[in-house]
Amino acid sequence: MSLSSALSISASAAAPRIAFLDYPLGRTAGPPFDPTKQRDVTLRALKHIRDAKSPGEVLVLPHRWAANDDWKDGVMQKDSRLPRHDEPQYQTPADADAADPTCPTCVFLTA
Amino acid sequence: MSTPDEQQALGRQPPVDYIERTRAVYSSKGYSAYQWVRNEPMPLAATDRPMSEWRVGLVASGGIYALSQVAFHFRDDVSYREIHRDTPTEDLRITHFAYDYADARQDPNVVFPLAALRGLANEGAIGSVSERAYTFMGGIYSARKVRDTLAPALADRLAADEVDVALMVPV
Repeated sequence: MSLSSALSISASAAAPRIAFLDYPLGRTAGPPFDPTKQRDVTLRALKHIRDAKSPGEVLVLPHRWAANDDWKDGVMQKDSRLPRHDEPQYQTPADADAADPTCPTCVFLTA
Repeated sequence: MSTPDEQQALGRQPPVDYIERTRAVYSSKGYSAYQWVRNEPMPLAATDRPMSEWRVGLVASGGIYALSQVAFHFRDDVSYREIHRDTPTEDLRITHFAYDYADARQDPNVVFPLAALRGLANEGAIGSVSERAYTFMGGIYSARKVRDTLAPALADRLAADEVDVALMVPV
C-alpha cells in the first residue's frame, strides 16, 4: 500500500494499492499537529488494503489541504533542490554531536 | 461525483502531475528528461487475517532518522534506518534535499505515521505495529540501485518481521 500525494509517480511505479491524499508533497500522512486527521488518513489507507479489488486501485482520500487548490499553481515552478552532498546531513548540529558513528540501527548497503 | 466544471467552480484542480512538472523544470534548465520507473501491475497479494489481527509494517522515504542515528546523505544514499515503534515523535528528525520538509520537521508524523499506527493498535483497529519501521532518503536517482539493492533488502526485512501488510509512505 502506497500512501501518496504524487499520484502519477505512484501509478507509474505500479504500487499495488494507492491511497491518494491530494496535499502538497511532504504532508503525505496528514496535516501537521492534527492527530485526528492523521489517524483518519492512516486508517482509510489500511482499510483500502483490505478492500481494494484490482492491482493499482486508487482510493482518493476526501481530505483537502485548503479551501481551494490555488496552492497547486505554485508547485515546482522552479528547481528548489538542495546541493547533493555525500556527507550525512543532520537536521541540527546537535544531532551530529549526538550521533553514534557505530549506529547499530543504521544499515549501509553496497549498490 | 461532480463534473470537472463543477470542480473548477469549487476552486478544485486535478492532481498535480509531478512527472510532467519535473519534465518541464528539467527541460527549462537544459537537462535531459528523467526516466521515471514504469512497472507493470502485479497480481494483488492479500492476507486472510482480519484487520484487527494485522501486524502492520511501515516504510517511509522522507529522510526520517532518529536522534543518535547517522543522518542520510544526499547522493544516492541507499542505506536505511531501523526505527523502533516506541520511538517518541520528539526524537525523530528529517533530512532531504528535494521536498519542503518545513511541516515534517515540526511534526514528523506528516511523513511517518508511526504515532497514528500506535494509536490504531492501542484502540484495537489493527493488531500491532511491527517492532521496527524502516526509513530511507528517497531522493535516489538510480532506479537500478533501488530495484536491485535497497528494495529487496527492505522486502526481506518486512518478510522476516512477518508483517501482514506494509504501509509505504513516499513524499
